[in-house]
Amino acid sequence: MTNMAKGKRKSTAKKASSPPDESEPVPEAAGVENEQETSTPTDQDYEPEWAMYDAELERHVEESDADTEQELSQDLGVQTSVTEKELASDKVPRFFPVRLGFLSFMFLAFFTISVLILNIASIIGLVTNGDIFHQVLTIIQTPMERVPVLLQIFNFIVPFSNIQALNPNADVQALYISAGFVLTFMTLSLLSTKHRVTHFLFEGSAIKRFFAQLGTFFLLFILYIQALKLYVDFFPDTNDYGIAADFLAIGATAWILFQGYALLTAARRNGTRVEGALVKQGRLAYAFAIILPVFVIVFILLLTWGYFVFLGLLTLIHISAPSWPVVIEVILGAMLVFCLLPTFIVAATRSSRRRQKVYDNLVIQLTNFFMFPYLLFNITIYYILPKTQSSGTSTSTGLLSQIFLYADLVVTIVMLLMALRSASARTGYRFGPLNKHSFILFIYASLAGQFGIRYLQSRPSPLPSILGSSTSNNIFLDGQYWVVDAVVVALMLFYVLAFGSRKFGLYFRVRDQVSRQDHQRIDFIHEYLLEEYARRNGMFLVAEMYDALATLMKVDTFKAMQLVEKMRVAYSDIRIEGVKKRYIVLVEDKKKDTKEA
Amino acid sequence: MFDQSKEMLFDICKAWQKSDVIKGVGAYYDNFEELSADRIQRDIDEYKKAITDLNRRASELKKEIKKDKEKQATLEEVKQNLTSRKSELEAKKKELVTLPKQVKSLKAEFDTEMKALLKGLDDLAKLRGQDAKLRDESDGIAQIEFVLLQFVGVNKLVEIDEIIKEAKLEIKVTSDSGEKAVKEFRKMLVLFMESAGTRLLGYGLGESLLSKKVMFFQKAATMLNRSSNIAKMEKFDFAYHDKLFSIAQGCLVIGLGTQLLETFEYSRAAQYFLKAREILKVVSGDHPHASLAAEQAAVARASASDAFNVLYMLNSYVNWKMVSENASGELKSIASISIRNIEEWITKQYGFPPDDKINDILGSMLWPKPLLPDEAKFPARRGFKADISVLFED
Repeated sequence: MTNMAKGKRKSTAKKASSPPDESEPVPEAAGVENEQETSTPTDQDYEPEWAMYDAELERHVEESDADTEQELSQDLGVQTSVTEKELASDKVPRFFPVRLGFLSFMFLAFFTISVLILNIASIIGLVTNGDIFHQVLTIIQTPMERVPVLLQIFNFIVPFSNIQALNPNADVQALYISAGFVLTFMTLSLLSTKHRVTHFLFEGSAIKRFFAQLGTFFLLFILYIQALKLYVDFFPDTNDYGIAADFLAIGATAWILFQGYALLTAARRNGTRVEGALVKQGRLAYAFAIILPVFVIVFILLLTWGYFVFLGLLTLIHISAPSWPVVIEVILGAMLVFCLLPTFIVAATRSSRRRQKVYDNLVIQLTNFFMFPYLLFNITIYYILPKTQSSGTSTSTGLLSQIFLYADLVVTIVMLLMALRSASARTGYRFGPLNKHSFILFIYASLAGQFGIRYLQSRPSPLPSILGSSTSNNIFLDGQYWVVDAVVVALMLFYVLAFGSRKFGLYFRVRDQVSRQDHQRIDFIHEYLLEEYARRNGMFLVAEMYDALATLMKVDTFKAMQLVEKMRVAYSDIRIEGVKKRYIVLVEDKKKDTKEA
Repeated sequence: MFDQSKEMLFDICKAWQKSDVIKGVGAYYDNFEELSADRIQRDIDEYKKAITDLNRRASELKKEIKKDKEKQATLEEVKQNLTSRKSELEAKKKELVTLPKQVKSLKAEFDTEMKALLKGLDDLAKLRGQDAKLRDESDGIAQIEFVLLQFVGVNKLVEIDEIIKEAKLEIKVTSDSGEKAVKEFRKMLVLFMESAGTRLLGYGLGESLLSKKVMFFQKAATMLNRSSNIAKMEKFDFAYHDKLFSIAQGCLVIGLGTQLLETFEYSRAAQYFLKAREILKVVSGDHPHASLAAEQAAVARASASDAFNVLYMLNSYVNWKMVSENASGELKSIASISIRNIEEWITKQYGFPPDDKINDILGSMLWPKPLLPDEAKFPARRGFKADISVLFED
């Protein structure tokens, strides 16, 4: 290091003592012709302004030399220490979703009772009638009966144990407990977006955290159960259990929307990945991108045909609904529009931008390809699952419903694990305005709603037709699958309508979150620009890229600009040419040009 | 831009295709030996005249040298020219003697070269209107250069003027400077090169990629330089052609300067820009492309001050960076705002130079002379130890 510094010092010393060079700009060079020669002596005539700081300057140079030597590459060694610190504080522990202490415990307990015990018990025929929640509550209640005070407290907390005593058939604890879980976790999630709350609930010693969480959880839980009770007391005529069911439905719908969004994002990400691999392959891949819509349409038509065969088979075992094929036809129509419309837009695009649009279309078509089976699956679940308040189902339907219930449970759990894994790897469990704690609590709330409804659907004694009067409840309790399909279709319609815009590609494609480390970011910029170059099949303005890169890397535009400059130094296959209008040019192309010449 | 001039080369091709070139060539072919002998004789006369001129100049210089020592170099140059012209004259004389023996091979060579030229003209004519092909370095531009070289090559073998005369070829074209009707080969060549040069210049001005832009300007300047040289010899619109060349040269210098900005040589780039401005300034108001020249001169001026601007900005950057490391409070925040703004501005427009280059770049800065304001002028040390009250006298 010292040698380097000495070398630099020597050269500056030499420069300062050398006489004014003939080749240096003459005074006229300042751009003002009539300026007097004496008024603009050259830099060497006297100490330059910055030379006042000579000592500091050299120290600065030495320091930066020391920094750069630690780096693998000399040119990348500016200001990395700051980002390293950020990186260190951001680590998320493994299995984070089940490490929220007491809150995780409560959620898992709820999950165990409402999903595992019920299903296992019904498989082995333990429960034929009645309610698992009711039975669990009875088990807890029994030892308390000897202590009147405890029993009073228990009866105060546990929903409708008094009603239960009067009317054993109105076993609605499951509904109220589930709704209580949804509301409690939802509230905790919203509160946890504030730093003070997360500090209170999740920081400090284990004992403090345990009591803080336990206290907060039960405070909210009891509060909500009592509020629900009060609601029924004040408005006895409205709908006895409606309000609890509404909250349950909100939670379940939130989950299903999240699931739909996660899958749509996954489909877009896969589309982006496939495109990224294709875009560098050259002409053949381009031809493939052009004809892909045809393949996707054929795939969709074949799958629909197969689905109608499946519907035909179902009628044999007396499962059918007149609206079923109509819904499928509507979805099919929408999908065909989503395939054809962007393709027409591509055909109508100016030839200079067409290539880029063809690749945008490729991502859209692949998304259609991945999403269509999911839409069909949702519709199937909707029609086959038992409805919450239905009771008279035939045995064969009951079995099939049970199978689909398990299938849905498996899908839910697989999707949950996928979504969590992806959220962990890409954003450290951050989602929109939610931080890692509130995101997980939000998932708890949504799943509580989902499992609550599943529980109501699958327990042997169906919910009495308490909800019959309210159609909106029916739609949300049983029809979330239908709702999520509608939302996904609406989102895709939005994408297709936005397809014509210039920046569509940037916002539609989903890329892996780029790590905070500058080295990785520089590699990412290099990859991204290469892809963009292939997509446009020619040079483009670097200024157009700053915003896109800033968005993708979650940094500000200035940082993106700095990183692009570093990339330029680090990689020799990409050049930035021009002044004011600076273009990204591939060096390979330039070589080809000179070869031809 | 250059709407009329750039199309002239196709009109020239068309004129050649339309005229009775076969007849012209046939006539030349029949009288090949005689015409060639005439041509060589004419060349010999030209050489002799040149040698006489050079001799006269040499003797003049020998007298001048006594007064002005610096003329020595010019004399050396003249002497060198003289020897080469003399040897060339000898070669021509030899050629005249050996001509009858070589007629057959010369005729064959003429035949193939002429065929290649006519085919080249045909191929070039087909490219009319195909701008994408024309601006391709290995396609249209190469074809234009080929035809040009072929013209010159054939003219070295035979007198194209004779062929033009026999073929009754008259080239009527419209240049940006007005309508032209020429019957002489050299004037035709001037028009052809003017056309090619303006075409290349237009491509350069419309190109976005800097390296290609410079390539176009380089070729345009070469082309227009040659055309203006021949125009001078032929006294054929020399002023117009010379200024056209100046525009191309000016544009080329601006392009080269801009390339220097890319490599962070701001000071040298500013020198280039100022030179470009000087070159472009000579194109006066009555030239058809005066407005282009004025525009490019403004570009040169703006680029020159831009280049210097970056230099000063970098100087600010280095100093603010130093301040931000040592200072605190308000000054530190001012420093960090300045650092960011400057870096952003330079990066967006020119790309930011690597840290280790900045000191070298700043070495070429210029400053106005420092000045101490009257209000800040204080008397030099005075007074003496025994009585400091002197210092408080106003």
